Amino acid sequence: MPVVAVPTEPLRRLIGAPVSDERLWDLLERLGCDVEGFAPIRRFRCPACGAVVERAERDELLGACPQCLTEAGGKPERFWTDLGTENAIRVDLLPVRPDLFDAGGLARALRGLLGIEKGLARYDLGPAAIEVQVDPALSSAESFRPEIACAVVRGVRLDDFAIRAVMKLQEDLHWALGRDRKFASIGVYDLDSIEPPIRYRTCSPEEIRFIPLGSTDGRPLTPKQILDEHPKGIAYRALLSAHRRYPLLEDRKGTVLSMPPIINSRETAIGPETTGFFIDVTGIEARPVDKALAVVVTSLAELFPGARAEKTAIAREEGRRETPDLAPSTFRFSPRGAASRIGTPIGAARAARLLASMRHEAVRDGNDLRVSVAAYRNDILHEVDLVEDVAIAIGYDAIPRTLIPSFTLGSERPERVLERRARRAMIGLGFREAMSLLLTNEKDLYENMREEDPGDSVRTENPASIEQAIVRTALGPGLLRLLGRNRGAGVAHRLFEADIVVRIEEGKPEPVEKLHVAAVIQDRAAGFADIKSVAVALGREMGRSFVFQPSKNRFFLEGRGANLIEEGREVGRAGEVHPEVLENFSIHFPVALLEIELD
Amino acid sequence: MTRHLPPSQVALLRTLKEAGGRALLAEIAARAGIDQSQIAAAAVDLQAVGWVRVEEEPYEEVALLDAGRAFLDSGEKLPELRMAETLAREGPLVLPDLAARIGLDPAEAGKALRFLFSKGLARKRGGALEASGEERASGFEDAALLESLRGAEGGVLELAAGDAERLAGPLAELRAREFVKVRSRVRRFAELTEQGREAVQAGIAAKEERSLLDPELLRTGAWREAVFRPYNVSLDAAEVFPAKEHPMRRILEEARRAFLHMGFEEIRGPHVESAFWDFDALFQPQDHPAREMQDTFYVNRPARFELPERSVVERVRATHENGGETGSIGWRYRWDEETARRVVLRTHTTAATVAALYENPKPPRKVFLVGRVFRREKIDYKHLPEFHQVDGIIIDSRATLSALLGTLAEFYRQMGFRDVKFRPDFFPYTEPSVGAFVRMPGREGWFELGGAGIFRPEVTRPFGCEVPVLAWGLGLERLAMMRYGLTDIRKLFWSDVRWLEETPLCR
Repeated sequence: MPVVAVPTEPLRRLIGAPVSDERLWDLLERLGCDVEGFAPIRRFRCPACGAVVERAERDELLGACPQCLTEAGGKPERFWTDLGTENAIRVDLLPVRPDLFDAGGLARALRGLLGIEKGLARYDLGPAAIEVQVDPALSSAESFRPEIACAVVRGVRLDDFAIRAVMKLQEDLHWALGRDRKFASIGVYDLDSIEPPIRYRTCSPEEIRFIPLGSTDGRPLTPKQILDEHPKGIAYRALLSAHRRYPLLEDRKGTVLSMPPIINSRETAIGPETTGFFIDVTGIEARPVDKALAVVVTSLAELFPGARAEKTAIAREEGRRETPDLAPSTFRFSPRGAASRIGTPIGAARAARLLASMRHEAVRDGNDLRVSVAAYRNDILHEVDLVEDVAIAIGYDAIPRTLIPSFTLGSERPERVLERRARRAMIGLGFREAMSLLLTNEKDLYENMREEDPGDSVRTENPASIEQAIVRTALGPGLLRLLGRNRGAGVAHRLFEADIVVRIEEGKPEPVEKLHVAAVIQDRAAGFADIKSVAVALGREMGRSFVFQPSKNRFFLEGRGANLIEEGREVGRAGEVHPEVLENFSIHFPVALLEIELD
Repeated sequence: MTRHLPPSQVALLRTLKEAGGRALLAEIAARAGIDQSQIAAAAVDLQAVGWVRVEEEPYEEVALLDAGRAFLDSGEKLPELRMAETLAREGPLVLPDLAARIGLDPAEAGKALRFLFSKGLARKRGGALEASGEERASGFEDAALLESLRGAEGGVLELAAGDAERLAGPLAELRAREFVKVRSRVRRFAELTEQGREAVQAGIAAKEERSLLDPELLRTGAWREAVFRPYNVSLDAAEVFPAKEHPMRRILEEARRAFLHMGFEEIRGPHVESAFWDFDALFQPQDHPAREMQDTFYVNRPARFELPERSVVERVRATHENGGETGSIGWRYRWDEETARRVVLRTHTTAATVAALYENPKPPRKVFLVGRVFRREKIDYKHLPEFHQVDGIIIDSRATLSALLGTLAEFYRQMGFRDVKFRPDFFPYTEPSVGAFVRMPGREGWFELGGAGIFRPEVTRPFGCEVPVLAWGLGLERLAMMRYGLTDIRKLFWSDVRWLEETPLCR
């Protein structure tokens, strides 16, 4: 999970009250945030593009600017402009709460919990002064990215903290709401550098040229060149791989703002002189696009208390709409329902107060409440989501711990009883229990055992390692692997495992899980008679008896292995392991092996 | 005729004879080079046959203490003697003057006064002290005793009972001064009887010592004559380890027992599962990052599973797309049936509990299972691609967040954790959601061990369940690592047979 380091001084300023470090930690945990701790962070400015980067105190300086990719050279400390050190609280991002990704949003939530400012946060939006014209081609298959929502924010003053905060918020929203830019990607531009109206259109790969952010040589590139050469183009070109034409935002003069979701142009980039933002969010689904814009605009309004947000008109063939839409959504909320879900009495008035401290607004509506939920909240789908907010406002520590009064009987699964008895018998016979992974590989399961792969194993499509690619159909190879891995740990070993194997069986729609017991005896002499005694004893204890027939299994020495037959069906095998198999598993002593189906 | 006796008895008899027929047991042991306890045992055995008589002689052991040694080292006379000499030389004096004259501090002078009178060295005259000019016969015996302690070995003097009685007065004085410590002790002598003398004369020899009791000795009864070599019982014996359950198994069984104790019905569920039960039934949107190939093992043999009956599938679809009849707004996307039919290695045991909810949603019901789950991880000291969870649900009209916290706290209490704390957490299928943290005695901080919550209506209603359902999935490997003090998770399933042997059952 990405971590955000929120500088504590600006955060306290935004909260508007002195809050101790301990209290801050406590409140964030109460909201469900994972707090890593406090740590000083150092901030640096890139002399090439003005980007501000943060490093933990112990981290080394970056070798290149993450935005413009300018190399810092052999002595990075000469390259970066040091902006000083600040104390910060490090918090794991909560993907369900993008409204808590930045100091502005966090301060908004904390003001509620602290009782400084409760209820719905309201943001005035100025009328739409800028129009964005959307080309219907963006809804076609050849360049599909139909959704766009935009906004304007004026009256910002960009200090280092603010530049960094805006960049970081954008990055984190790409991760959480945009699913790495696929569903939504955000662009923030210097308002003064563009001339409305804005056109959202498609372009062919070679049609135009512009200087992308992070260009090292200032050379204008075509979209195709960007995808082929530019680091961000290479990183994200998969998102456009199905497209013949690419999305493009440009202004009235034809100045390119960006090629979503890949890269912005250098010409429209924000910098220390920027006093206003034009913001776009494009994507393939409406909800994440609208949510991302609502979060960005409201968080910027919190970060820049003097700023004014403005709507933007999105003009399509089928009609106009204005964005952002910050109208709250409303839910019915039953205080009685909440009380019975949480298990503690909550009256309507208290419920309303608790909801207000979570920055919702609740008004009485008969026995229920009508709750307005801010547009920046992405996690309220149902009344129960508000019940959780009420529980959080109460504090999980303040909720009593009780037990369900209903009477129910405990009962074990029969195969667990069987498994336990087998385990007891094996321990009584002097075998130590081993446990190995269900995941294994064809080499151990078949090749090393001198067997053909019968194709009855469950196989994963995306193994993390070739060592763990299929699900075991037998336990024996795992025990041999274990012996091989422990060849430094003495000669005599008696080990067993009692657990599940999985097999695909013909005529069955789903793989069959079977409970097996396998055992190995490793010693200077470990023979068939030793392991047969064990097989017979285990069978006796489990109320079973086997007929031993010569085995053709190639992992046994010829003539020294048996199949265990019960009611005409093969249910196991026992014998002396073939020296070639021992060699394959790097085992240096004789081994006798037993494996029996238990159910 | 030579008699064969145990070696310690032979040693005792021979030593006694050499010593002239009577000796201290301690001396005999030292001379024979045998442990005194064995000599004592031999003496008791020989007394029983009348060859030896054991006598006990009480004595007082007087040991010089540090204060006594310090006084001896100072080379001074006892203070009351110095006081008497001064009085004799200078005539009557009041106590403070007398003390000042010989450089004694008033407290010490006060103490010495007692002895001044008891030894008859001075008497009172008006407010002053005057030399008596006489002294009792016993007056200086304490000083003499102290002098003899100086010469005694180790500063310990042994006084026969009669002497101790005679010196009771001076001994009491020295004890009062904390110069000596007196303990009553007993020493044992062995003395050859006439019968014993004759037996030794007639010849004795040590029996042969044996190291093992063997069946032959038992069969012939020769064990009666045999002597077994005693062991040094404090020496190390070979280290052995019992065959036993795997340490992880013990944790799994404890977790099962905890829920069985609380009246839960155990269920099972397949390790190879459809995405439908692993994700869709739990209202995890199909674009959720947890479903990506990055984190979840997808199975391509077999590649597709059947879904449950159509009506259930349609209700799940509607819930994802627009909330269906659950009162939710849904995730607002097109739900794809093929995606739900894909096959995964279950990523959590909740896949089994939600299927149990589908099979029987009638309250009250409490079910659980302990099982393996899979996450797409490369193996390193922190990660394995599979681990164990205990998952449970409570279907009950009286199910509340409060009961969820209580049940989890009780589980962890049974697993040996007294300190449990809960925090909000976030899962797509529960609301409210809870993270459970425990504290280890002797370790800093809180450790997150599991997630829990109340199933969302989007999870329960499509299966016809109208009452709240409490649910949790708690990891067990981390708990095992805390219990066994492991820093490398691979130790559990990967490499180390020695560790299996050496990890004790009680831990």
